[in-house]
Amino acid sequence: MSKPALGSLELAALLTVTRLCENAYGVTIRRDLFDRTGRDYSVGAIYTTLQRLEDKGFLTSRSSEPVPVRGGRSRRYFRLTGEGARALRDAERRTTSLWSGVLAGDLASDRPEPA
Amino acid sequence: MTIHVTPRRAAHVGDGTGNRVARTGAELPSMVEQLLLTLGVDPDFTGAVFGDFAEEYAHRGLHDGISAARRWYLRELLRSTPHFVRSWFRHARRYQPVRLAATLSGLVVAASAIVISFATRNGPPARLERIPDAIIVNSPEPVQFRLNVLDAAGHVLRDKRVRYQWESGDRLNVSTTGVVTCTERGDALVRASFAAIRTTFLLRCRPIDRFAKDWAGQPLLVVGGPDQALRIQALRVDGTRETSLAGTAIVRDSDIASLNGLSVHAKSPGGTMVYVWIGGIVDVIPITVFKRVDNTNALHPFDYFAPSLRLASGQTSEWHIPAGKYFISFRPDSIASQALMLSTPGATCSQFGDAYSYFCDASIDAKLVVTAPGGASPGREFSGYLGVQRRS
Repeated sequence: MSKPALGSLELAALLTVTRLCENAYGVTIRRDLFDRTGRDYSVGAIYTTLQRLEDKGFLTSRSSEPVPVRGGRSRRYFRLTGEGARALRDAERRTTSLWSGVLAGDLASDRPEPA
Repeated sequence: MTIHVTPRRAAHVGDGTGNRVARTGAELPSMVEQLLLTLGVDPDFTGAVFGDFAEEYAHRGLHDGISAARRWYLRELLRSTPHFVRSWFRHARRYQPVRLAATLSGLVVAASAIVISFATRNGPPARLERIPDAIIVNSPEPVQFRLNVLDAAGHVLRDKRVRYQWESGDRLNVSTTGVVTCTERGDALVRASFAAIRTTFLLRCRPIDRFAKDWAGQPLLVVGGPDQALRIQALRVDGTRETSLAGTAIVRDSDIASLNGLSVHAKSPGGTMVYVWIGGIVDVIPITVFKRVDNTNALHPFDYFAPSLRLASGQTSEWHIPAGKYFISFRPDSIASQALMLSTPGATCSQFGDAYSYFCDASIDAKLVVTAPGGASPGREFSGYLGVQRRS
């Protein structure tokens, strides 16, 4: 059975959750993604992605105690699952494979245009 | 650290770390969130998103100011809308479409009610009701003026009382509450006012006493013919005719005729009444509408026959008419045609109204005969008008 593929935002979100460890919830994930990619994803887009990753079994979530600054709502913290870790390693392997054979000189900005 | 926020829309709360942070005004988010939940959007998804909204709003309120935070909030709400829709589709269960339809219907009704109430709300007094420059009063009895106060949008403000005052002209009896008693003819300028809003109008007292009856004087109404003005003769106490009149008129059977002011439009053959109210007096005017026919072979009640009447000297035209009652008008066109003669063998006629009008009671085999005199002027032509209205 083939493993579900990861989209670019899904991959970025999985990596961010992994990096943030115990502090991975919507706000921190979104800020981290902005800091690292410069992309300002909407809150809805972040949670849609996280929910999809949870449905795929790559993430689990738990709710915190109600937080006053959230108007008494809980935070929803996310954690990488074993399945999620395997998906990340697969993605890394695929990316590495794709990158192999590409030399830094091939990507030089002053490389001449093909005739 | 403390910040200043707009008191009515945000409050300071602790974030659990000893800092004071701005919290969004609760009304709008709560309403939107509640609406989404009612529509069937996943509550976990909604709670997480709105929790982030609130947390980020508080953070931005501290660092960027409340206005910037509000702009962000609104923008983020809009950007996240497709994701709420997606969540709704994923989370929708069996009865969610019904709930959605009911909720949207409720929203439409509520929005309509808000729009209607906004559009129809009353503003402060702006002007008085527009009235004609001159108001004619024909009643000798006291008459109450009722001039409305309006707001800028033209809505009537019911509880506002206008005051009236005689200003100049003939000394007419006008009370401050707007009661006018026109016992005599006269013209006066009257001021109507509410606070600083005021207007003046010309009051024309033209009391009438009765109507003069003019049974034969009403115009001929024929289906398809031109509209005709009703002839109303109102008389003053001294019996002279009053021409400045203001009143109301209605026609009893609107299938037969209709009114445009005092102009009558014939619609179908038959008889009816027009009621005219002027100065507290009612006049009842009978009107008859006829259908024009080409011959007298089968002349029915409410048929009207008016042949072209053009005869050479010595010539005679005759028409048989069925038994019944008729109103007949016979009028030469000119003095030269006055020699034209009408005879009605088989019918008993009597003059009615003017010299050219007759009521006739026709028996079987009655006929109308018009004769142009013969004699000294062969080839001379006589012309005139013959109108035959069958009444019954």
